Amino acid sequence: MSGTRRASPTARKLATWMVWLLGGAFLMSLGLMGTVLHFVVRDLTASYTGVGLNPFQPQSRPTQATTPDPLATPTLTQLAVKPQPWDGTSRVTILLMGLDYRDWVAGESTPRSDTMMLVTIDPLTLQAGMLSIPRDLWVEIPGFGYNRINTAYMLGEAYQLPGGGPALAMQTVENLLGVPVPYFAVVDFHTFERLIDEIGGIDVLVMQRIKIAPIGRPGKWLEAKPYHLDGADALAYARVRKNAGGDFGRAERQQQVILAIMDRVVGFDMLPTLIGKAPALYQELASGIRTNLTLEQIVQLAWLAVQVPKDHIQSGVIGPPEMVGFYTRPDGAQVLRFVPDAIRGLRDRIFVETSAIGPSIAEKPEEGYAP
Amino acid sequence: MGYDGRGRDEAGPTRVSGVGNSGGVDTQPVKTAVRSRPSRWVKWRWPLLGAMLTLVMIAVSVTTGYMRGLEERAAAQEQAQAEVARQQFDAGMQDLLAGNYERARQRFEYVLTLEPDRPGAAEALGQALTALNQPTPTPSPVASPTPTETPDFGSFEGMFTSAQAAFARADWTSTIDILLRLRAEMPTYRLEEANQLMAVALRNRGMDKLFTGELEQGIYDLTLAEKFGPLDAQSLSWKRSAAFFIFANSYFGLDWKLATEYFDQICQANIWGACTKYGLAAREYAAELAEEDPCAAAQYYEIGYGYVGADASAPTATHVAHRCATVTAPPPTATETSTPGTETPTATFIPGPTWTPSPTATAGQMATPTHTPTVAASSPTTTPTPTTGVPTATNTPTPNPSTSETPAN
Repeated sequence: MSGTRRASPTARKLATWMVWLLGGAFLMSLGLMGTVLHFVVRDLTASYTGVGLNPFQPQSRPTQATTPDPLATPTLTQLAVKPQPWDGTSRVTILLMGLDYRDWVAGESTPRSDTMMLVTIDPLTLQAGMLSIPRDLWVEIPGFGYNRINTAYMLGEAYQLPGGGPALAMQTVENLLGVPVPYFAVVDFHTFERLIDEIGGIDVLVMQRIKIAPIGRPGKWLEAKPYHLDGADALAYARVRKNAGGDFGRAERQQQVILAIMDRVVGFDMLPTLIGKAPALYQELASGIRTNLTLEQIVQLAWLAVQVPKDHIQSGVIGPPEMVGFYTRPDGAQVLRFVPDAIRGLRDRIFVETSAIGPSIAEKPEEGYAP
Repeated sequence: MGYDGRGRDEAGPTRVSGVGNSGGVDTQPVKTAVRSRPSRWVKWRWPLLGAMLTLVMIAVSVTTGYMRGLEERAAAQEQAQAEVARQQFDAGMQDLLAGNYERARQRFEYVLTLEPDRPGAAEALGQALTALNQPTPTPSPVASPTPTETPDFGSFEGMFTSAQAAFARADWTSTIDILLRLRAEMPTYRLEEANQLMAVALRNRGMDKLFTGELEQGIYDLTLAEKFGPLDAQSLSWKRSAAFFIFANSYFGLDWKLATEYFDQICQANIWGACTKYGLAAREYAAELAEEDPCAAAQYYEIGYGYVGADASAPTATHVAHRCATVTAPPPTATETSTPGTETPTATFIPGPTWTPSPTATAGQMATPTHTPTVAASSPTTTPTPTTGVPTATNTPTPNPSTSETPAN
C-alpha cells in the first residue's frame, strides 16, 4: 500500500517538472492574454472618436468605372465637424439637407444640396417652426461670390473649407435669414426610407393627383386622397418636382411628410420604443446621417419635439409671389432673387414672434403634441 | 490543481483515517492524518493564486491599454489637427495669392483656432482682413482668453448677478444666455430689470454684428430687441441702412442697373464695402450698355475702374470710350450740337431709396448701452470700425424706410 502512495523519486521529479511546466504554460498564456487585451483596449480607446452620429470618415470618390450607389451617403473628403453643445434652454435650429440625387447618379464628387429646410424648436415657449429654402435662390456665398444657394454645400466640400459643405451651407443660410444655425443634419435617401419604415409608414393626404417614382420601383400615380405610404413611397412623394408646383410644391410636401412623421410617432406613442432602439438604430443608420448633433442631443430633441402642440408649429416656404422674383441670367440660368423684406417677415413669424426672448414668457401648454 | 507538492492527493488523508478506524492496527495514522490535513486555503491556494493573477493581469492590461490608447488618440488627433492646419494654411495662402480674401480669412481663422501660435497665420489673416477692408484684430488676431467669472447658477440672484457681470464686460451673448436660463427657471424673477438687460444686450450684440458685416444677423438681433420697446435712433438708423444694403445686394448679378444705382447711394456712406460692390456693379452695367450707349458705358467703366480697378474688360472700355468720342465729336462745321439719339450719361439715378437724416431720439426709446460702437466713415478704403466715440448723424446714413420691392420685380 505504501508503494502506491509514495511515488518513486523519478516520478516525483517528473511530477514536479510537470507542475512547473503547467505553471509556466499558465503564466505564458496569461501573459499572452494580457498582451492581447492590452492591444485590443488600446486600439478601441484610440479609435473612439467621441462624436455622436457619424464620425465623418472620409470616403473615396466613386470612380468612373464603378456605378455610384444612389443609396449610399455621398460623403467626401472633409474636415471633422465637432458636436455643438446645447444648454437645453436656447432655441435649437437645425439645417436639414438632402443631397442632389442627380449629382450622385452622375458621379459628381461634390453633390449640391437638393433640399434645405430650417427646423427650429424653442424649449421655453415650446414653439416650433419649419422654413423651406428654394434651391435656386440667388445669394452671396461667403468666399465664393454669388450663386444658387444649393451650391454652397458643394463649394464647401470641393474646396475643403473648415467644416466642409455643411459649414458653408449653414453660414450662407445664416447670412440670408439672420438666425443662428448651429446644427445641421444631412440624411441620405436610404436612411430616410428606413426611418419611415421603422415607424410603420406615414399617413398623408395627397392634395392633388401626382406621379411619384420610388427608387427601385416603377412609377405610379397617387390620387387626391389619403394614403398610407411606406418609406420608399414617402421619399418619392417628398422628392417629386414635376407637375406638382415645382420646388415650392415640393417644399410644402416635405413639410407635410415631416408633420406626418410626428403624427405617427406621437399618435402611436412610438417615441419610447424608438429611443429604446436608438443604439441599434444608430448602429444601422449612422452611416446615412451626417450631423453635428450627438445621439444624446437627438434623443433630447425628440422628447422636446413631441411636447410641442401641433398648433404651435409654424411653417413657411420662401416662394412666389412675394418672397422671390424670377430672373434669367445672361448665361440662361433661371434663378430666384430673394426679396429681403418679405423673407424677413416670414422669418420673424417663425423665429421672432415665437421666441422666448421677449418681455414676458408665455405659459407652457399643458398638453403636448396632438396629431 | 489539488496537488500539494508532497505526493498526496485530496483523498489521501481520508483514506488513511479510514484505515485507522477500521483496523485499529496502527494508532499513529489518525494523528498523522489530523496533523497533515491541509486547510481550505492551502487546498485552494494555487487555484486562487491563479485566479488572482488572472484578474491582476486583466486589470493591468486594460489599464495600460486604455492609457496607451488615450495617448495614441491624443497624438493622432494632434497629428491630424496639425495636418489639417497645415493644409488649411497652404490653401489659405493660395487663396490669398489668388485674391480670394474671404476664403483665405475663413481658413486662417480656422488655422488660428487649431494652432494659435502657428507662424505666419496671424500675419496672413491680417493681410486677408486688410484686403477685405475689415479691421485687423489687434494686437494679435488670436484672442487671448480673458479670465471670466463662472456663472453662478446656484440661485436666481446669482444668475442675475452673473448676467449683470457678463453685461459689464460687454459679453452680450453670455448675458442673453444667462437671462434665458434664469427665465426658464423663474420667468418672473426681477422681470423688469432682466428685460432691460436683455433688450440692451440684444441691441448691442445686433450693433456689433452690423459693424462686423453680419448684416442680417444684426437686423435679427435688433428685431428681437424691438420686442422690448422701440430702438434708439442710432440703432434704428443702422438697421435701416443694413436692410437697404441687403436690398441692393439682392440685385447683384441679376440686375446691374439697379445694383449700380443702389450701391451708389450706399457708397456715399462708405460702409460694408459698398463702394467695391458699386464699382463691380458699375463695370458690369457698363458692359451691358457698351453696344447701345457707349458714352454711358464709358462713364460707368470709369466709375467701376475707379473703385475696383480694370479687369479683362479694359479693351472694351477703351473701345467704347473711342466710340463715345466719335459720336460726340463736333461735326466738321463749327456748330456745336449734340448728336441725335446720343444720351449724355448722367450721375443722377432713377429715384429710389434715398438717404435721409437719422431720426431723432424720442422718449421711451431703449436705454443707451454702456458700450456703443460707432462707425467712422472716411475714405473709400476704410471700413466701419467699432469705436467708443459719440455717434453723429453724418456717419449713420439712413435710407428711406419706404424702400419698396417694386423695381424690376
